[in-house]
Amino acid sequence: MRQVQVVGYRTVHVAQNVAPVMERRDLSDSEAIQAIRAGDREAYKAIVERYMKRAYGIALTFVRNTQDALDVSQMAFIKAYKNLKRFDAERPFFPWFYRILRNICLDHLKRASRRREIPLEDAGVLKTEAEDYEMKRMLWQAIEDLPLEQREAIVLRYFEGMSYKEVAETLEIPIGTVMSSLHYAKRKMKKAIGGFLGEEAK
Amino acid sequence: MDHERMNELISSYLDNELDEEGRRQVEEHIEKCPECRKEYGEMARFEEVMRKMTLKQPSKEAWQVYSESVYNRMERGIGWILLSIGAMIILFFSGYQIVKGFIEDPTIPVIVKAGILLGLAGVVILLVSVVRERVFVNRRERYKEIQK
Repeated sequence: MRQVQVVGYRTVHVAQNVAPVMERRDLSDSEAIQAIRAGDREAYKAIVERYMKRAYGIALTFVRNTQDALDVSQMAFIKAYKNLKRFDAERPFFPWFYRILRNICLDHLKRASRRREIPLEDAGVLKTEAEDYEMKRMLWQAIEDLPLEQREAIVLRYFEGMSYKEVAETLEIPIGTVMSSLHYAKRKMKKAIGGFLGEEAK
Repeated sequence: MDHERMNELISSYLDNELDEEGRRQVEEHIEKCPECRKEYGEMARFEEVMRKMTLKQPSKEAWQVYSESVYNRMERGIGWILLSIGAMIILFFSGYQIVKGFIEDPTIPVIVKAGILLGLAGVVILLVSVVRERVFVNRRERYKEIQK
């Protein structure tokens, strides 16, 4: 049993490096990783809960259906946990995790295409209201047609709301490359949905 | 400044990613260049559309059980490993018993015993070699990019 003394608002724990339950959620990435390395498996929850929605969203843009996206993103968290000893705690967690997640997604797609499972409804990735279904379908098609790096940049920027700097860190590319990738991608997408943009302007 | 470079700046401008100097440059330029003003207008509409895009979300319950199921799946992984180690031990033991019983059986001619033993040895070597290849090759491939 873990012994925990409460002094005012601060919780002081006797066992070293083991975070008490109440505070786990607030652990920073590196604190959580330290705690895990010290044997506190539950501390990983802080990381999973912090990044699960992001991981799911990214996975969804690769695997294109909700169930698979939940499945592969969980697999990525499991793999990251198992490989945590290879992780350099000095560096930010998410870019490292992103690499694992992307590899798992690409593996999944490779396996799916070998089994000839082609997703039926690609537009299912975007939340749709009936009135602009057709535009969303075209927009998603335009995203699908982008080269991988440009697509990754678009997904992180628009669906995950990252700044250019965060996108650059996550993809481990210079910020100038992010800028031009996004620019080229946007131009292509704009062209693809040009008709709809015009309509909206009227 | 050429239009290509300006278009890139406009794109970053709309993403709110330019510093003051960059913003000023864009604003001044679109003021006097109709072509870039048009690009700006189109891009602004495009941004508006993009900002409204959201990804399909799973049910709320999926998030509540998400981290639990990560842990459950990890545990199950350990379960599988233990199960396969256990199964292997039993398999080897019973294999050993069968081979032993068979060698000690005086009614089977020596040449048949030798043949079967050699065959078995071959199967074991092939098996080990295939397993080793799978484990090592997969491992190298899988972690190649992660370690970076």
